[in-house]
Amino acid sequence: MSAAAPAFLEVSDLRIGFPGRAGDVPVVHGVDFALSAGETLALVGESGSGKSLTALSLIDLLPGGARRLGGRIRIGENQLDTLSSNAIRKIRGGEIAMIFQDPLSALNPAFTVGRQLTDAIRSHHPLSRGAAAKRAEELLDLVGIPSPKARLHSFPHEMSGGQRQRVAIALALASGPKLLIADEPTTALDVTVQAQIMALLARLRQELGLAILLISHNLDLVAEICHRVAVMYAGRIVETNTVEEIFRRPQHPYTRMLLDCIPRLDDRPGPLATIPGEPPLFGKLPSGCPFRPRCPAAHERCLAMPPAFPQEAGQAACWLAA
Amino acid sequence: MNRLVRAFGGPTGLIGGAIVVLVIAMALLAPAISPFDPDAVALDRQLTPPDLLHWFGTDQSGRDILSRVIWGARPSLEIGIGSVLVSILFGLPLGLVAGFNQGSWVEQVIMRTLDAVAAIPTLIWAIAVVGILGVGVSQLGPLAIGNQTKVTILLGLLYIPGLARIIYVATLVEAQADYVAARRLQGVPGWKILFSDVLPNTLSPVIVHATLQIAVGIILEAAISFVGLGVQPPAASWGNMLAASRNFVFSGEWWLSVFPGLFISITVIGFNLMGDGIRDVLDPRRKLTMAPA
Repeated sequence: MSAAAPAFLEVSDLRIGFPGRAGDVPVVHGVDFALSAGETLALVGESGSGKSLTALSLIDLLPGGARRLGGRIRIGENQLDTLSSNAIRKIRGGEIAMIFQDPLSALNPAFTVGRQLTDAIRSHHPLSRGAAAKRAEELLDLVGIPSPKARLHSFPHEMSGGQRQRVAIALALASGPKLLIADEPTTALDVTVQAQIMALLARLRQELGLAILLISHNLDLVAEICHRVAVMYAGRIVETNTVEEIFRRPQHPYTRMLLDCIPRLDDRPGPLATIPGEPPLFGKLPSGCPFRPRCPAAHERCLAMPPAFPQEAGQAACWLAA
Repeated sequence: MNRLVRAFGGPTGLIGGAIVVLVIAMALLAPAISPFDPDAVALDRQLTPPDLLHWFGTDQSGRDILSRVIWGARPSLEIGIGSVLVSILFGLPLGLVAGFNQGSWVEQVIMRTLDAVAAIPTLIWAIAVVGILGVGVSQLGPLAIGNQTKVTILLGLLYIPGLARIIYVATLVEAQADYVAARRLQGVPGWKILFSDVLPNTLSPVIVHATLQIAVGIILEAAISFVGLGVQPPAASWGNMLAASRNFVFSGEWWLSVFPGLFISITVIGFNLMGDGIRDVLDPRRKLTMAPA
C-alpha cells in the first residue's frame, strides 16, 4: 500500500474497549489498515470479531459505552484523535457517510423520502428547498430509482426493500462523502437484490471516486466488488491481501475455513461446512494464538506465544503461514 | 361512510367520535340550546319530576336540570382536555429527553422523580393539594388562579409521569434506529434530531393516551367536585350536581343523580371508544391488515 498518492483513510493501532468492573475490557486489539480513493476494502469476520466496532469508531458512533482506547485515525488531512468532537462532527458529516444493515430502520418512517433527502442535503450545503429537491431527485436517479421525481413524495413503507436500500444509499451520498462505510448493506435483502445493490456500490465507487469500507461476513459478495480484504478474528486483523490472493492462496487457517464455508454448485449434497467452536469471549482470549482452540493445525508453538500481526499483504498472523 | 368508519378505526371508534363531537358541540352551544338559565332559582317548582317543560326535571332549588347538564359539560370538558394539554406540555419534553439520554444521570433524575410523584394515587394528591390551598382564588404572585384552573393544572401535573413514561419508552426504541445514527453522521445536533426526527415517531401512543386520559380527567373532575373541592356551586358541573343529588338518591327523586351521571358515563365511553379507535388506526400492524380494503 505504498502507492504514490497517500491513502485517504489511515488507521493504525486502533484499540477499542468496553468499560468493565476492573478497567476497560479491550475488544479490538490494535488494528491497522489504509484505504485510498476509488478503492474498496472489506473487513470480513464472524459476529463479534470487532469489524463493526472498528468501522463505527471511524465515525465516532461507538455503541453503549464502548470507547477508543488508543490508536490513530487519519481521514484526508485530519488526524481524528486530535480533534474536538465538534470538529469531528463536521468531518464525518461531510466526508464520511454510512449505509446500514436494515434500510427500514435507516429511514425515518414519519417523513417522505424527499423530505429526508433535502434535510440531509441542506445540513451540509446552504441550498434553497427547491434547489435541494432538485438535487434529491438527481441523487435518486443516480442510485437507479425509476421516476425519481414521483418517488420524492413516497414514504419508506411504500417502497420495496431494495428500493429502500437505494434510497438509504442516496441519503448517504447527500453530503458528498469521500468515504462510504457499508455495514453488511445487503444482509436484509433478497439474494437477487443483493447483487443489484453490490453492483450499484461498484458503479458509484467508479463514478464518484468513493473509498468504500465494506463490512461483511459474506465472502461471495466481497469477491464481487472489493479490491482488498482484511480478515478479522477476535479483534485483530489476521490476514490482509487482494481479493484474488485471498481466494487463491489463503494464508491463515481461519481464512481457509471461511472460504470452505461457501457452498459451491459442484459440492456433493451433504451438510455445509462450518467452523467448529465459537469466537472467544470479550476479554477472555486464550493463551498464545487467539484462534488456537478452533484451529485444526494448532501445535505447541501456538499455545506458547501469539504470532506476529501481518505487516504487509500476503502475511498472516499464524505460525504456519509464509 | 366506509372511509369515515376506517378513519376512526371501525364502527365503535366512529360512535365514540360522534359522541365526543356531540358533547363538545353541546358545551360550545350551551347559551343557545339550554332552555333555561341554569342558575335561575324557582322556588315554586322544586324537585319536579321530568315533564314536557323540564325534560330532566328540576332540583331542590327549582333549577332546570337539563340546562345545568348542558352548562355542566363545560367545566368537565375544560378540566378533562385542559389537564391533558398541561401534561403534554411538560411530560412530552421530559419523556423525550429522558429516553434520548439513556444511561445518563439526566434519565435517572427525570424518571426517578416522576416515579416518586406517581407513587401516590392521583385522586389523593388532588384532594390533598386542593384541600391545603383551599377552594377559593389562590394568589400566585400577580396571578389570581381560580379553583377550576387550579384543578386543571393540578391534574395535568399529576398526569405527567404516565404520559412521560409512554414517550420515554417510545423514544428509547426510536433512539436505537439507524436513521438517528444517520442524522448524527450528517452532523445534526442531538436536540434537533430529538425534536424534529424522533418526536413525530413517538406521537401515536401519545395521542391514544391523551384521548383516554381526557376520560379519566372527566371522572376525576366529578370525583373532586363530588367531595366539594372542584367546581363550586352555584356554577354547574356534572360532578357537583351528583354531589348535590346524593341526599335525594333514596327519597325517590332519581332524576337529580341519574342525568348528570348518565352524561358522565356517555362522555367517558365516547372518549374511550374514540381512543381505542385511534389506537387501531395508528397501530402499523393494524394498518397492514386494513390497507387492501
